[in-house]
Amino acid sequence: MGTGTKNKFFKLLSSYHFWVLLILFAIGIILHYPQQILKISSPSVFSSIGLVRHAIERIYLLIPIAYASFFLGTPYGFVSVLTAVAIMLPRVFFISEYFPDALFETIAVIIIGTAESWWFAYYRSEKRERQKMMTNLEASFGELQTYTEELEKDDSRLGTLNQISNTISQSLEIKKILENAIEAVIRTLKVDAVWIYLLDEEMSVLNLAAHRDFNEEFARIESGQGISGRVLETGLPEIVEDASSDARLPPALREMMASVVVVPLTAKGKVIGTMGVSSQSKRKFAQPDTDLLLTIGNQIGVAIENARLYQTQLEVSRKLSVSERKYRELFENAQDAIWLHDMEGNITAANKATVEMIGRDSKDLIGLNAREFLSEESLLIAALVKRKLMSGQPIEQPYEQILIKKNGNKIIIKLTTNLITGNSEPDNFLCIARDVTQERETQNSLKKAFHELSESHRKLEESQEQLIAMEKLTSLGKLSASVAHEVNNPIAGILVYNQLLIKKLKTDKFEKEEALDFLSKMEKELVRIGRLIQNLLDFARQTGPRLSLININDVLERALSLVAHTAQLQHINIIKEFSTSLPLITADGDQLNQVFINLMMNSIQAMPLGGTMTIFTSFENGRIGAAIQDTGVGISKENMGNLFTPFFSTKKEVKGVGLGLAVSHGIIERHRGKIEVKSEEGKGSTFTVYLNRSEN
Amino acid sequence: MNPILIVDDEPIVRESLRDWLKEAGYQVITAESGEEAIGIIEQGDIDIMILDIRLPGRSGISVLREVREKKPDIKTIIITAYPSSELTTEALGLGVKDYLIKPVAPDALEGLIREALNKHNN
Repeated sequence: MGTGTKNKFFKLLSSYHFWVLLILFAIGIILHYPQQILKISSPSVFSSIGLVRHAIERIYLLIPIAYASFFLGTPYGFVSVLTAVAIMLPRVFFISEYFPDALFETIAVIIIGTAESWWFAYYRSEKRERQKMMTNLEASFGELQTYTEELEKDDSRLGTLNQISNTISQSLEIKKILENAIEAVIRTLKVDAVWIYLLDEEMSVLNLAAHRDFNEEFARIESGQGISGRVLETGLPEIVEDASSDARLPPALREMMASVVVVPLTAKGKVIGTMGVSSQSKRKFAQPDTDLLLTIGNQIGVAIENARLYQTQLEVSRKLSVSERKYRELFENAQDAIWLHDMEGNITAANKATVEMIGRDSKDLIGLNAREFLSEESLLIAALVKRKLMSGQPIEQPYEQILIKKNGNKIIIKLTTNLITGNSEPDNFLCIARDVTQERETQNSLKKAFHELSESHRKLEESQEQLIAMEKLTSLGKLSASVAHEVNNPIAGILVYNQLLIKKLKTDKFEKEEALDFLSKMEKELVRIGRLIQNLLDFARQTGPRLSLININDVLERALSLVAHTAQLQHINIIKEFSTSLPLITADGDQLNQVFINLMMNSIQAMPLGGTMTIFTSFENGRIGAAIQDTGVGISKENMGNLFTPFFSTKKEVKGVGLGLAVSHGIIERHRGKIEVKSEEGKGSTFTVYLNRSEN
Repeated sequence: MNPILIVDDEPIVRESLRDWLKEAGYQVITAESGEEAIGIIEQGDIDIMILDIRLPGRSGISVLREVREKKPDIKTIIITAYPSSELTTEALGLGVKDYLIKPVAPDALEGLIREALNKHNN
């Protein structure tokens, strides 16, 4: 402690402020006591210049106090106050004539001095604070400067990075990207070797893709092997400060490099390779360096990914262009006309077939509007198709349109139209068309031919009807003897009786009995005529097929009634063997009547010298048989085949038209029945009509 | 006066003509077939024959031929319900007096008979 005080004391003595203070106080003493020290009569040095007495001397003492307080600190200020009091007190008590004034002045000096000391103390502490703040500020400024410098440095790194990134991304060729990256890394980080491995995902190996001054022995390393392998697995950078002691490095590498950093190359969060740098001399790679490398690694990763994507796209687009070429060929060489037209109907693309079909030059075709090659009607259809396609309604495809060629020829095309959607909006119609004019013409002529055919068929049917009618007339002709007999005889009788009655009435030789007898005979004959006429009318009626439920026996009776007399005249005996169990069938009675009359007349004519005509009916196996058998000449074998041939007749002597059997055959066929013939020359024939039981 | 022979297969014709001619005062005999007619002709005297040309069994023409051979004096009047030119020609060739088509007007027939009888009598 003594040493401290001593030291302090010496320190005080060595301070020039102490000596200044001492001088100031010495001056103060002189000023307080001029009479005693300077031996002058005036109690004040300054009385000669007329200032207030003693005031200056007292105020003067405030100067050393202020000095001490200011330069040496508050404690010294207080010491100075005490010193000032010590200087002043002897004068107050012993010299001053005005004690109260002197005391007051002394107290004032004490108060002001103390205040002064305090003020300085405050001032000093303020100053210290300010100084401290200044120091802090200075420190901050220093930091700021460092930071700014850092920033500038970073900025230069960023510049490098940008440069690298630009260089890297400028190329889409992987080899070039890697070369550029290596170049940039060497330039920026001043390393001696750079190597880049890329992952072969399929093989799970790293291939040396590019390097500078690296050992090519290590062109391929397994995943997980060595430092690069580890980086690949962890995705984290590896820093080797002292390569010579790192066992992960093969000896060949340990020789050529002192410090190594390996960073992953990442793309889309996936490690796709590694990049290593090394220096020949030992070097401590700082965090920023590693960060930079990492960033470059990412850049390379992204660039490689882009390049790969580009390669894939290139491949795809190459394939696409191949397939497009193929489609183009297909389109161009298609047999069908294929064209595209926009929403306004302007052709935007067309193939060769279209050129031929529309008949214009291919250069004129593009931009050609549908209005210029479609008929007005077709344009209306086209508008309808467009509307339906646009609104997604179904349309019947393909449809037909009429196309007008450049030379004015009209052709019919069959086409399919589909809406093509370009960029999300439908922008074209795809039309595929074929000229079907020829086809249509063929179809039309076929249709025409068919129409003609059906017309002739109809005519044939008509003529068949006419044939039937004609044959009916022929039959009537053949029946005329019978008819004349059946009509004229009763009329003859009636006429005679009628005239006889008149005569008797006139001459008054009238006998009631006799007259009644005549009248009843007449009536009987009239009924006979009426019945015959009815039969004839039924037969001759020219109506189309008139189906009704009929009994074949009745039809045969009706036919017989017309031919009976003719048979009788030819000495033909008629035998009826009718089945009593025939079902009714649906048939045209008039036509069947015609058939039976025909067959019966044939029968009669086959027996010019008389014979027997037997008429059988039967019902067996669901079908009705009506047979007309004669004992006539029979039919020769050679004539058998021609029996149903129209206009074939053996009856020259009776002037047969040769239609009877043909027409009969037709009628029976239309009834889905058939006619069977059995004949033996010289013995007779049997014609049997078979009819199926009512089909309904 | 010899009876008039009527040959017809139709009863109404036979009977009506018979009744008419009887009323007119003639004697009448009828036959319904050719065979029957020939039998009558062979048996008795017949001056006038009314013959239906179309008969079942023996035809009118054959009857006519036989009559012409056996009794050429008999005057024959043909009646037919269904005239045919061939038959007419043939009949006329066989010397028939007339050819009437049914229905026959009875007074016309009577006239022909009278005429024939007068010639016959002359």
